[in-house]
Amino acid sequence: MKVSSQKKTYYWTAFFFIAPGVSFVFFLTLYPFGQAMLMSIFKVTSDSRTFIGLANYQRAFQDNLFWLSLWHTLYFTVISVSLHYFIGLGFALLLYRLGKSIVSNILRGFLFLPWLFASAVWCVTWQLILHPHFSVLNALFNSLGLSRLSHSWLSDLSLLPLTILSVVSGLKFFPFHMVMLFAALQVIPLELFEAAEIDGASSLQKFRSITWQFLKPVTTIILCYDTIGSFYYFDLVWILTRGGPMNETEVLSTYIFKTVFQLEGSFEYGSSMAIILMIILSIFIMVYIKIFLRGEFEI
Amino acid sequence: MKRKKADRALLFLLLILTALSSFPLFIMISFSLRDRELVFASLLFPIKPTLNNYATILRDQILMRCLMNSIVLSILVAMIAILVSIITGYGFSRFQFKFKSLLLYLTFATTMFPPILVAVGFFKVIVRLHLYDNLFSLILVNTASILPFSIWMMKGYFDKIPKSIEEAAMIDGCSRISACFQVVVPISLPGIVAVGIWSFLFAWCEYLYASTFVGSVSKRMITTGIVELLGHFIIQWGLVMAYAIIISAPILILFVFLQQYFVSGLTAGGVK
Repeated sequence: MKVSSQKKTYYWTAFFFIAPGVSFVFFLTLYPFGQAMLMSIFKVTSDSRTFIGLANYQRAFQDNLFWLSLWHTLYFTVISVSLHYFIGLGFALLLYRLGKSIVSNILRGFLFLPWLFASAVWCVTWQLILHPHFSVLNALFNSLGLSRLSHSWLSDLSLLPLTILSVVSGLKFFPFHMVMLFAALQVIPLELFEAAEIDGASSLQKFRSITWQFLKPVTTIILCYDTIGSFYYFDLVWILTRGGPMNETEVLSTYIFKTVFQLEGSFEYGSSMAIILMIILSIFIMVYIKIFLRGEFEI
Repeated sequence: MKRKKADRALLFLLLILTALSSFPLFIMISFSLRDRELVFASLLFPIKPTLNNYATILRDQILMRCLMNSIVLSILVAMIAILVSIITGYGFSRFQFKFKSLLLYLTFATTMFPPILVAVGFFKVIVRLHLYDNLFSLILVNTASILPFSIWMMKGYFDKIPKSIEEAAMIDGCSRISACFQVVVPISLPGIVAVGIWSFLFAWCEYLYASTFVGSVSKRMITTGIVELLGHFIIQWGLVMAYAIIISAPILILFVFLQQYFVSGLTAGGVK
């Protein structure tokens, strides 16, 4: 009898500790999510609510602008994630090679900087660097005698603006990959390299069979995380181009934002596109959460 | 000897690349020091550097208001996130029950919703609660976005602290909650600082919600405020860049003194 009441107290205490925080999070995220789900399959007028099924989803599949935005989103994600990863990996390896010293710490601090700025600040600065009227970059090219290289970076009617946006994102978020990969490099036992040296392994062989093996797990998780983040990314495109010129840089986030808050005020259509966006990414999301919480499931 | 030469080349290469990646910061500083008439008079370095832009901003009521709003919002979000994540993180770390991993899984899964979906869904809720154009709505949505991660981080810190420490206190007659706050919390200060910094940083840099849930000028945040400066017909770049420096300064200062917490937060899971 005593044992069971003790057990009861135990569960009540657990409940008291966990419930407030978890219900706060659930109420503020799952509820809007459910709301969006409902909005996407019901037509709501002032006093009635009619079930319209998947009509909004069908509309998305027939909407050329939706397909264009999806293609742009994919393009943006692939380029910026690769840039983040390869720049980050490059710096991590260079810093690792440099070894531990004060200089290396200071360099690491400076390399981390771009990540610290708010997207808004970063984009405003790049607006100045790429501005159609006075572009710092073009001015720089001109003064170096390379005026052939200057462009209207963000207003060209081609893939150039979107590529430039990916590069701006690439230069902002690589420190995340750098720090993660650098941390992974720290745990490699140096004896492995010494042994490989004795066996006469080449640098490439050493990288493939030692370094890469330690980088692989962290690579999976940061690539998943970054793919999700870049797919959802709104600030950069919105602040720099608003999806223009002529929808050349329209991505899904900005198209949804426009649909809901500007053009037609259609919450229904907007939320169905947002849900499609999430479904496309569900594989990455599941892999990410699974790896992230792996420690938890093993215990 | 050869090795030393290679090292020097490596260092040189890294220095150049670091300088290149800090170029936007250089542009910010350089343009923030230029007078209105001389903004485009030179390329890299300002002619006749001046602090006029900074003085103008300090006198500009709207821009200072945005700064105040962001300070209040970020501090409140950080404080709520710290308090809630201590309690919930402690619960997740110390109690065992059925469906615990499922609950953690679900809590964490909420961070994977597209922010635009949260904005769209939450907008209706906010209007219904009459919270549109109210800073309270921003506090709610920012805290909810950062909490799953903060809870996870705090749980990680608590997991590292042996249970025996608070068990001893509880045998001495301490209740669970006071054992948590008087015994465990003081030794998890690094975790608390990290959670605080991350939540502060998130709210400070947030743009999408700040541009959706509030409308009036007096409730603008720094991020929406600086973007608004680009909307003028003639953009005063000196002013914009000085504001960029002012609103980035708190983060940069925090980073200089508390660098290890930024990195430990990153490696604990990663937040963008």
